Amino acid sequence: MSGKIRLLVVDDEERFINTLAKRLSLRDFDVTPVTSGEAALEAASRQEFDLALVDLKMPGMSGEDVLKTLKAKHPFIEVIILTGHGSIDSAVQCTRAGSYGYLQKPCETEELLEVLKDAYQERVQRKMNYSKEKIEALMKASSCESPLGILRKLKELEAEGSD
Amino acid sequence: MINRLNADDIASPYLDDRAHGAEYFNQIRRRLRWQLLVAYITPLLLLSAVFHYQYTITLRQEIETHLKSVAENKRNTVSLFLQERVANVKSAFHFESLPLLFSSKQLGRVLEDMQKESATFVDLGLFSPDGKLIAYAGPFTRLLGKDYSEESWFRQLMKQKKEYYISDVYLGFRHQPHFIVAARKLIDGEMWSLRASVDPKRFSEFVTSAILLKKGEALIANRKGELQTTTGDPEQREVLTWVPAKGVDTKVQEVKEKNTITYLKAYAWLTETDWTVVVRIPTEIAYAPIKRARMISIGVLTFAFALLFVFVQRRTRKIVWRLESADRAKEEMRSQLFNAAKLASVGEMATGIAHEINNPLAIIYEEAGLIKDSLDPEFGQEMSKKELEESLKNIVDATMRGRSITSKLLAFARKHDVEVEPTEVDPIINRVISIKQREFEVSGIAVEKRLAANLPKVLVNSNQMEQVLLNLLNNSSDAMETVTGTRRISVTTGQQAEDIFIAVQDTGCGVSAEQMEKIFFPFFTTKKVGKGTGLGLAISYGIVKAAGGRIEVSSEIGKGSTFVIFLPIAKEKRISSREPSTGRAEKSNDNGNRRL
Repeated sequence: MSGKIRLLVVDDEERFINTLAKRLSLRDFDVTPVTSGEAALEAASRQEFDLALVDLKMPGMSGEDVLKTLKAKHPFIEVIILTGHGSIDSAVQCTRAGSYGYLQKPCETEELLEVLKDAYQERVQRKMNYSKEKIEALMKASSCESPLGILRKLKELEAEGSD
Repeated sequence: MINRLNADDIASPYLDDRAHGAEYFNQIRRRLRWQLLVAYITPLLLLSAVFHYQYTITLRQEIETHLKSVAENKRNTVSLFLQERVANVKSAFHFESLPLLFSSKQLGRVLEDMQKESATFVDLGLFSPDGKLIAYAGPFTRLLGKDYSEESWFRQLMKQKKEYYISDVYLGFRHQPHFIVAARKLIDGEMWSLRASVDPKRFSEFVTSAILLKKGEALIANRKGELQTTTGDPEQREVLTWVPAKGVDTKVQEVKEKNTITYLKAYAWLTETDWTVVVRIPTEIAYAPIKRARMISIGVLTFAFALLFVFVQRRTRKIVWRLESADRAKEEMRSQLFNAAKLASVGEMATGIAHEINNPLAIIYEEAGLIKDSLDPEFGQEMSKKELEESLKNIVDATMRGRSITSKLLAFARKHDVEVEPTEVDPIINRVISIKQREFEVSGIAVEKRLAANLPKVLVNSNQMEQVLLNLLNNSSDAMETVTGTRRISVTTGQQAEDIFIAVQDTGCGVSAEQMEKIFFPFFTTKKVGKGTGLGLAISYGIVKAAGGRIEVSSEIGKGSTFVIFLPIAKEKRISSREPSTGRAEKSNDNGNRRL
């Protein structure tokens, strides 16, 4: 891990994501821009991302589908929607589907950074919570299980926690 | 189940008839003018005719009565005159002894006495029972001794029961027109006669004088119609065309004389002899008051008609003007509704449009942010000239992209003219699709254009037709929002008989039978609150109908819908949009479209 926040940017506007990628790179983000939902899922399967910034209206897979798939496959990724034609309906739907934030284009840099940072903190928090639970469970197991049982439990937890 | 609807089968209130043209109002004006004129003039004419008829009858009766009374009066005076003359002759016969009368001298004295009574007596003669003139007083002394036994008057006098006889006017032995008054007397078993001749001139003067009838004349005619009131040769005298039989009461008759003058005549028969008093007046003069009355009524009527015509003209103009202004107001409201619906359909696109504008704005914002970052010493990332140029180009491109969207939108919303002209449908379809192109792309909707080549032009207003197509495309894309499978819109054009058709087919959710019934009604919508106004199809129906076309819909739930617009091929070069709609009532077609 480089220490930078790993961000996946998904938007069919190539110029937009390239520029956004450049600017976020200056602000300690490790940005991977992709131009479709399919490419985003492929990138996420190859590499772990902390955050994803996803457009809603795209040819092919829609942003909402990308959000749902990402959240299903990678529980710790935080997804923020950045869309050109936002509506209350779609904001509610996306929040229900698990998006951390819902931003409208064009979005002020400060606001975007704030949301991204909050989202990252959320992710870190959730991950830490998860680790804590994992350690506690391991401690509990070590106190009552046989050495073989402890090993088995460890394996189970590792399988669960793979991100 | 496939639901079908031919939009001609439903009546979309308020939207299907256009304002009418000048010719329509001229027609109304003409018809109204005639109807009003007939309505006003007919009773006036009838009333005038009835009054005139009544007046004519009354006047005729009055004239006839007058004529009759004049004839009767004249008959009475003539009768009195003749009775007097008979009495003169009779008394001379009775009061003088016969031997005295044999002397012409004595007879002359008697004649003198009689002439004192009446100057009409010309002479006096005594006739022996065998008809010889044996005594004579008067100017024609050569008659003395003449034998009258074969003369008709003498034979008649001897033969008849009546003791006196009045002859017709004749020439006799003296070859002078005259008529005689003769009386007979039985003396010592022999029949003697005394005869006085009367001057027809004096008699005529007496008859024809003093009648109370302007321009009329009184005459005496015998049974054959031969005038007795004549001073000339009795052989040459006028013979009246018609004389009624004796015994018939005083009679008035319209008779055309030989000399072509038509007279109104009254006849009154005398009892003393077979003479009738004829009072006649040329019909033209007799009926002059009727003619005058007719002329006056015609004059008054003509004046009344002229007044009525002016009144009707003004009235008609006022009524038609009111009609026209009502029609104009309706047209204005219609056009306002059309505009409102147009703006509403733009509104329905707003979310799509927002996306189109916000995206380039986001690019501009980020490019500007990038340049700002490069100026920030904190980042220490100065941009190269090439990078800066690229950023600026991106900004310009994005600006242009935004502008092209707004200008398309404005161009659509701003157009107001409703002029119809022969128009090709292809450019309209292409323009409307270009407005929706981006939205279709991001919504994953494939657009398939199957436009027939070299289609004839249609007579429409291109802006309105753009609106119709935009409404259909908006509906199609909305119908496919929830569709997970294929999202495709096909726009097909072609020619069918005298029509051009534009079919818009989608793979959307379809229209149910219940929805189909109300699909063209204003304010009917299946879209979410705030999304649809329910005006799109109603307005589209109005526009297509006004262009003389029709819309057909077929739909299957879950499979998609097809809207087909049929537009008549333009025949004339240019027609004003205010021409009356020629909407056709095609109730069913070959596909067996079901009426809903």
